[in-house]
Amino acid sequence: MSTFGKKKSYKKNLQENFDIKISININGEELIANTNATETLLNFLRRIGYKDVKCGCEEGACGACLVLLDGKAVNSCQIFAASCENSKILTSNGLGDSNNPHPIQKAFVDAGAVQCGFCTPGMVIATYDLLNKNPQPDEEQIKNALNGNLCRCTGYVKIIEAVKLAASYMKKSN
Amino acid sequence: MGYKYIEKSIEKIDGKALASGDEIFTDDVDIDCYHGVFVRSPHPYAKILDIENLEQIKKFNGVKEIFWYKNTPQTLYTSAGQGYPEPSPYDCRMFSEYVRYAGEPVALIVADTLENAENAASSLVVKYEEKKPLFDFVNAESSDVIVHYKDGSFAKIPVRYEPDKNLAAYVEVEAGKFKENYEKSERKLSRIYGNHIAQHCAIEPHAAIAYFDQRGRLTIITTTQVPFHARRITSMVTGIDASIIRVIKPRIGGGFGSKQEVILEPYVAYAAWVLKYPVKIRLSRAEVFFGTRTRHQYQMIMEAGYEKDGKINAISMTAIENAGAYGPHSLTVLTNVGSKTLPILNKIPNVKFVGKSLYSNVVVGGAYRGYGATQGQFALNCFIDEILQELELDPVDYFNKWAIDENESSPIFKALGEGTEGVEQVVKANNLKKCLIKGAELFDWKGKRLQYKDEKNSNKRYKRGVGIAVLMQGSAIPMVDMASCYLKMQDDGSAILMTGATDIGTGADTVFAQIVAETLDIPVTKVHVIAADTDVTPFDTGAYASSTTYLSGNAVLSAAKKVKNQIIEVAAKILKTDPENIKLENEFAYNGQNKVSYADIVRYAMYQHEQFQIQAVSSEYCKLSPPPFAVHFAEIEVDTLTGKIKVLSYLATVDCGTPINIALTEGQCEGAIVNGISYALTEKYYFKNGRMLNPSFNRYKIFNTMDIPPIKVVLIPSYEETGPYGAKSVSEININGPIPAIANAFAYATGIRLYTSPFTPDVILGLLNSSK
Amino acid sequence: MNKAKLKWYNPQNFEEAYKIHLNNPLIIPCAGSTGILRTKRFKNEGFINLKYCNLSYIKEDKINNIIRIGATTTFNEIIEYLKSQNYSEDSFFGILLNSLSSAASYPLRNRITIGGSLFDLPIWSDIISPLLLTETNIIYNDDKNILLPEYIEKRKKIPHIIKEIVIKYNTNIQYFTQRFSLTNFDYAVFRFSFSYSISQDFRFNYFNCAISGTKNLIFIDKSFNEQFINICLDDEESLKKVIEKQLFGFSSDFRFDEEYKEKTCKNLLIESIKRIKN
Repeated sequence: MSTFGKKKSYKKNLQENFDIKISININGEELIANTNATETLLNFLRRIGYKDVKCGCEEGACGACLVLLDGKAVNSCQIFAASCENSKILTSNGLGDSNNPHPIQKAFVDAGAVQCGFCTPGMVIATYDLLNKNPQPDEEQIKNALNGNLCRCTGYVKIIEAVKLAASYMKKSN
Repeated sequence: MGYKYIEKSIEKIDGKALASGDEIFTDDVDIDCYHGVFVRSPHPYAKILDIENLEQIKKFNGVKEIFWYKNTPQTLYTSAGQGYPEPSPYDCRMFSEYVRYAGEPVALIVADTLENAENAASSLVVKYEEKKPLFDFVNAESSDVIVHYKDGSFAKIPVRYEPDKNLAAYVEVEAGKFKENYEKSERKLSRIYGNHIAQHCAIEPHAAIAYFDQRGRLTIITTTQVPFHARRITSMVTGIDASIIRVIKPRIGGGFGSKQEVILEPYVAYAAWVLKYPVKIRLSRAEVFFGTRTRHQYQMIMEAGYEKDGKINAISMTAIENAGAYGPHSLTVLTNVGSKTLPILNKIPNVKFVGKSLYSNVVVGGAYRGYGATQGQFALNCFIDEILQELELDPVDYFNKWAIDENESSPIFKALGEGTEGVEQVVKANNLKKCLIKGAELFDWKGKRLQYKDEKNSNKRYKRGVGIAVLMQGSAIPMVDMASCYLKMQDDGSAILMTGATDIGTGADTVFAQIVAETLDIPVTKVHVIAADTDVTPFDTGAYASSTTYLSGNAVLSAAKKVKNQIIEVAAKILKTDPENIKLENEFAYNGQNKVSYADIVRYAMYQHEQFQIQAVSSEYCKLSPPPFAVHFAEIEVDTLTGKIKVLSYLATVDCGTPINIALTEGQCEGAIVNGISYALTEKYYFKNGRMLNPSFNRYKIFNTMDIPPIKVVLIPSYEETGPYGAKSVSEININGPIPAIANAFAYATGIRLYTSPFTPDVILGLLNSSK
Repeated sequence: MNKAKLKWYNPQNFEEAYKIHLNNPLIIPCAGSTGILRTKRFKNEGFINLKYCNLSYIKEDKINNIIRIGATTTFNEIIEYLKSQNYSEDSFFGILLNSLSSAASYPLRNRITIGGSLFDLPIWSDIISPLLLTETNIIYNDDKNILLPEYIEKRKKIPHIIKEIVIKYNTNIQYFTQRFSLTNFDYAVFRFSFSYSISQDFRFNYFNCAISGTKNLIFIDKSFNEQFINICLDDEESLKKVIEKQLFGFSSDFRFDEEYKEKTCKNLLIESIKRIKN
């Protein structure tokens, strides 16, 4: 019986399947990691421990896997990790954590926009992307920037309020 | 009411952790494990003859085992997450010799990596003997195709269950005498409605992982709404001793009923047991669509006999349910079609409800927010609206006159239970009529009815209309559900609450923390909630039947009150006075000017004198199910060139008793409304020979930020004495409003009635053109 | 098939890139990767990463009304550029902006490239019907060029990697485009685009219409266009006559049948033309 799955031979077998080395910067940390020709950025990030990037559909349709890739919000499930050599990746956990949340994360909590929270990291990234380019977006612009993020819990009403609140928090902190 | 922590938008206790991605969902559990991938049937009904290349695939890179019907327990069970004995038929097996719907699991391949498992699964060749499938559920009783043919399926409780006639459930209740009063009515109307199959679309797919801990106990971490039921059923199905099974619910990414099922747990448990290694299964999005559960399709027949002044003498509702290939929740959803709708018009003296659930070879129906009320409200609200149109009566005025009032009851409460007899109740907390009046005023109901009254006769491209839906639901299942919890104080004055209740994203943990905070007068941030771990927390039925706030919250309140009394007792000893003189405020106990902190009180009790742990256990079962009420107002516009319906504005006035957390309550309403609107307009399963053609968010459309209309939710709280701080429930009710409200608004705009959902543009354009 | 044996190539210039592909057409170009991952095209032998080939640019020649867009320029990059130029809604760039903005979703538009989407050319393409109203040249491989209509036909037969899209548009005519879909983030059921010019007395003296989403991917018909000449914008009857007797030719899918698509397309087309006057 193997508790918690500690089998060395199994780990070695895994190593053989990841034969492409890439240099990548994730949340400010420079890393050298292994991937393979067809691994998606989503599966790569989750495999090396970035569990805040969620898998909802693997079809680019739900946005739960959104990360910032070289400054742009993208569906990490639709990108090959092998094509991300020297790229800079930002995930929600890179912006803040429970003890030190980013103003955007705080805004989502304060506006009541977090219910199950599964879509939230992706929403945070989309919001971060939007506010970087457009610090005072109107409602149409907010809806357009988040139109690739699905949520089934909130009906989006408080999410849109959260983005407006985030814009005001970011303005204050500047 | 002047609460400190109740009726406030307190920050969700797991909010920051969720927003930053710190919190853990099932698939985030990071242990080395094997991965399981299902091979599923492409046929709607077939016998599995053999797996042709079984030995060859077993030798594939990384494959550890292939499970199918020949090497797994053949225990019959129901996957329905319900209390024991489950009121759903025991008609499914982990793997069966027969497959009864396209998508049913045929085999489970377990390999060392997901890729290896997928590779092996796609190469498995199964030999089937196809059988003629049954899709026409309405006439299933007389079909020569029997979905469960002599396979041992049985009903655990004494209800009518006849699988040899494809009958999964049957209910018939009558209050008064329908037929004779229908016959002698001045006017009569009879209509047939049909709603469609839909999927919950929680953004987190179903997943489960099973592993042995350091003492050899089998732990299952799973996306479940029902950890205790999952433990019991997994043990029963696999034969693994229940005492070594522990089920833990982590954060859940939405459920809405799809996770009120024991779907993956037996598989991961059994595979881990056999392979002596952790095993994980995570379903793909496509598998969630056709391999989990759906909203039941129904055909509803409404009949009523009435007078021209609007008095309804007799009403009958016949509900024919498409159970799908198996019957979890088939009986209970069926009874709710009547029990969560008909009591609204409690003054109708003769009411009949007949319900039938029939098997067919399609995806399996199960629990889905609304749970029968959704289907029933479509029929009832549209039917009444059509009658009112004929009689030229205004719907708001009509319901204001005839809907159930405070301190009234309905014979349906007692007549229609969930497989057993129901529970009589008098509805005390009832702001339904206030919701009607206030909503009509805010929405400018009369103004809009006047403004749009000639739309149907106009030649405009865009026609507008307004319609309402009057709703009720329940709060827990009376005389059946039970909730319990444990509360203790720590020596710094903070509290630890252990509850069996399942927060599936609803914010239940936060609501419980608020209840403890309010009762003890300590900050919410000093209440730490540990939930839904079958080893650690006491029993709770789980997150369903809108029971968490009302029932589990009552258990929390009861424990908090006991702890409060203990704090007072010890404080009285410390301050050398009688307990009656002690006042609690903001983490201090006072006797006049003398005070002592909770921290000191707990330390005194723990270390100094007549030592004991300040703690309490409580267990509540509910004797009533006080209904929340809501009235929905929809303003729609239909494009007569394309048939597309657009919701211009939507208002919901809601009475859920005291809203313990206002932001969370509004969030429940808003989310349910948007879900209901896309259910009405854009969500649809397309089938070919029983196989779902569109199992993808790209082809099964739910709303995004740009699709939503302006939505306003107004809470009009009543005070329910039997609920914690006056609360009832709110999680399900609002999903039932959009279909009838939109259909009624459409009828006002065009003069055309809608009887089948969804109201997709092609259907609407066809109706518009054929009416010209 | 062993997916892990696929190789990645990271050419530092475009010449290197297309030579790899010509040498072995089973080694396929990868720009945004959304097309490849959607269709899970892993039966190839490798991927050519176009990231380092300097194909992300937009060059406008306002004098000759030509715009050159590098093949790996993303939809959002083009949208941002067009927004900054403040073109009017009824100019070519106005309808190009409209079309690109409705494709897929915001984060996907950060990956979908103009070259990739023209190579893929799915039936729901939002970009094809506006482009067919212009003279568009596809530059590929060693600066070979091919006009768009011919490219559509031949693209699966010639091993190639697109280098640049050269669009020559008209500024003295007006443009319109409209798509139909069920929700906002949804494949287009169809998109029609037309360019036109009208005389002083509101008669068409030029009309060109392209409809995507049809059975053969595109409907564009010279004799259909010609029938509009001299019809007055107000003359609903004549407009209806021309449009209703034409068959655009949609095929039924599980969502909408061909009659519905045909009827709706026609209804919307007539309505759009009627509204030109306003």
